[in-house]
Amino acid sequence: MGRIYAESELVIVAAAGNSSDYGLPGVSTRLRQEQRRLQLDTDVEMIKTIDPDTTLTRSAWASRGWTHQEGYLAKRRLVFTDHEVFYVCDVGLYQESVQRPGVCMKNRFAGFPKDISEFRVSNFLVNYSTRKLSSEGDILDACIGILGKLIDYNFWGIVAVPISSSSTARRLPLSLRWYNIHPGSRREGFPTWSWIATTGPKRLSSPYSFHDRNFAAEILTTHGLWMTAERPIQSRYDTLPPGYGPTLRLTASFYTASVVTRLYEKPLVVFPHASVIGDDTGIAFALYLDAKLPDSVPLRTVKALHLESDVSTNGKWSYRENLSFIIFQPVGAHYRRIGLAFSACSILRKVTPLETDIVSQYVTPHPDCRSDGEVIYVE
Amino acid sequence: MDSSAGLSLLHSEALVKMSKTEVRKATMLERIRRPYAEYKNAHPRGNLCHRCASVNWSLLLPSEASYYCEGSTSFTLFGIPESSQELSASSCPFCLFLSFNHSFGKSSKRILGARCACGNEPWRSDCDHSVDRYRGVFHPDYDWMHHALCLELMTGEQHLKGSLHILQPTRTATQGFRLRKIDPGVIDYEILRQWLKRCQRHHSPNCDLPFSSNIPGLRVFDCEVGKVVAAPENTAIRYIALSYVWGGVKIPNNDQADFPLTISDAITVTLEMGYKYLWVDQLVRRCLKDGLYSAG
Repeated sequence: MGRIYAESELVIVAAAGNSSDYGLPGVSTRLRQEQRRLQLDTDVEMIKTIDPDTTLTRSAWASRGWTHQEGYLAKRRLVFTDHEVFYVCDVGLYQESVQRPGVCMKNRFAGFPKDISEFRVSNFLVNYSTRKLSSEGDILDACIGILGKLIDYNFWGIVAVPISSSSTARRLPLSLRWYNIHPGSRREGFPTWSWIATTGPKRLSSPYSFHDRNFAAEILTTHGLWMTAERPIQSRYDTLPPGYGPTLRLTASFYTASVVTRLYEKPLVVFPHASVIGDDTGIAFALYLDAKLPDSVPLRTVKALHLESDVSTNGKWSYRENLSFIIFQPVGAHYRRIGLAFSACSILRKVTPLETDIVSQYVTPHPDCRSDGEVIYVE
Repeated sequence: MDSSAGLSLLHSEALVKMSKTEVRKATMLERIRRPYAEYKNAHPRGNLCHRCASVNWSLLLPSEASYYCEGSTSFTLFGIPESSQELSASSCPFCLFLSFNHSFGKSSKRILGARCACGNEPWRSDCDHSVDRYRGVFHPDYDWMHHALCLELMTGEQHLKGSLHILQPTRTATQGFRLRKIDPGVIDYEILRQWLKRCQRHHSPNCDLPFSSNIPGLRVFDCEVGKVVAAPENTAIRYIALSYVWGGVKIPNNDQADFPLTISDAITVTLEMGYKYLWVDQLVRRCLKDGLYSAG
């Protein structure tokens, strides 16, 4: 599907109305809105122009899943709105209402994000995850063309990106740092560790860091082998039958923690000891759930994978990342991902467990809470 | 102290402390202000309120705009503290105009600012208009200057998003930025064809299509004949694609007369743009089932 749009001479974008009965305004029966004009002095008038970018981003067209890659992959787009027709290519913006052509710089036209590099995978996720699909099962099909542009390999929508644009030999491991702003609902048939497995708007906890160093991740290939994503392996985006079993193997030192649910607030992931404060304190991080928890599931012991990344630098500044943990819940012999815990932690004093202080994010769980190194299988 | 003494003070001591840009802005504002009596003399039946008539709008035309454009990003014409609701109840057509399609509350910080519309980008208004800043080369689309003043409502640094108010002369056609009148029911396809031609001619390699042969199994709607055809195997065809929202509307049959309006309009546009083939998912969906997914 993606190729159809990428190789088309011109893509007509119907950015007015919210169904195919609406028509392209100005072409036949559907009329455009009158331009507003006001005579100010004998020789001067004021004319209201509508910003094309704003019109487009507010349209129903921009709220749907499939249209994201259709607009992105197109080279030249002729956009029909309720105000006017405009044209956006990789270089320029031409508006029917403006007699002289205008030029929009690369990346300046928000309606069609261009030049998405690996650092902008985050932007893709933020934009795409807010979009609606009439069929939830299309979540991956509807963006596979765009993923193919962003990255070399994808495993159910989780990216594997090269270390730099010039390097092809080494590849970064998976970035599993996505989280749901609010718990979504499950999409069946996809691995729980991928963002495509739940609905709802998403983010990456550290959008500019992909180098998760302290674990080894292996993907189950279609041939039934476990392979690390650092070497090129075949992308996987097949729908899994119920009971398919694990698709990700993680080797790491996992923390053991428990989940405490709270009324009206995000649940907490509680680690029994903190690194620096003393035996009578535990620490806790807010848990951003992937989906609502079923009431019956006991969450005494969950596995927490600490995502440690390189210290980010942008040339001038270097700063530490927020601590973040992927939380896995045991299901039989395997695990399922249930959420991401991060941001500033709370101190829990055991004497009066209700008392919590928000403290510096640099307090970490005590190494005692961590295993020496184990392997878990994630469905 | 009378007003002339105040003015001379402005011109002597204060000016020394002001930056060049500030001096420019102050001079500009002084130049465009006019007393209400003067407005009333020129327009005995004019119904602008005192505030909106305090600016001589004729001095803010494109011919003058370059004067305001250079070295200044945006300058304040006057404050507009009212909410959009209050503005919409005004008898002044200018106040009314500013309230259309917008909703905002009271704010003592809101102002009506003016800046040059060149490029429609505030950050570009003080740069050389003919040079592509990023690449440092002349660009075919920059071979002209387009100055025009546009007005916008701003609260602090925040622009009111979505629309701009452009000032332009009613009669004389000037060089540069100029708005076209949009006919709600008629599209001038010649303009659209010019865009495409300009892009195909001047935007290489950025806008070049990937060189390839036809996608295997490609089927397109032949707008001249009115039916779905298979793309020829040997010659690569040029086609237009439609990106739209279904909204639950289905194509009842292959009779063109029953197509949803967006699709039949797209057929019209395809022909007007000088093309023959249109790709619409619903029209060719039988080939989706035949495994075209794997080609995408």
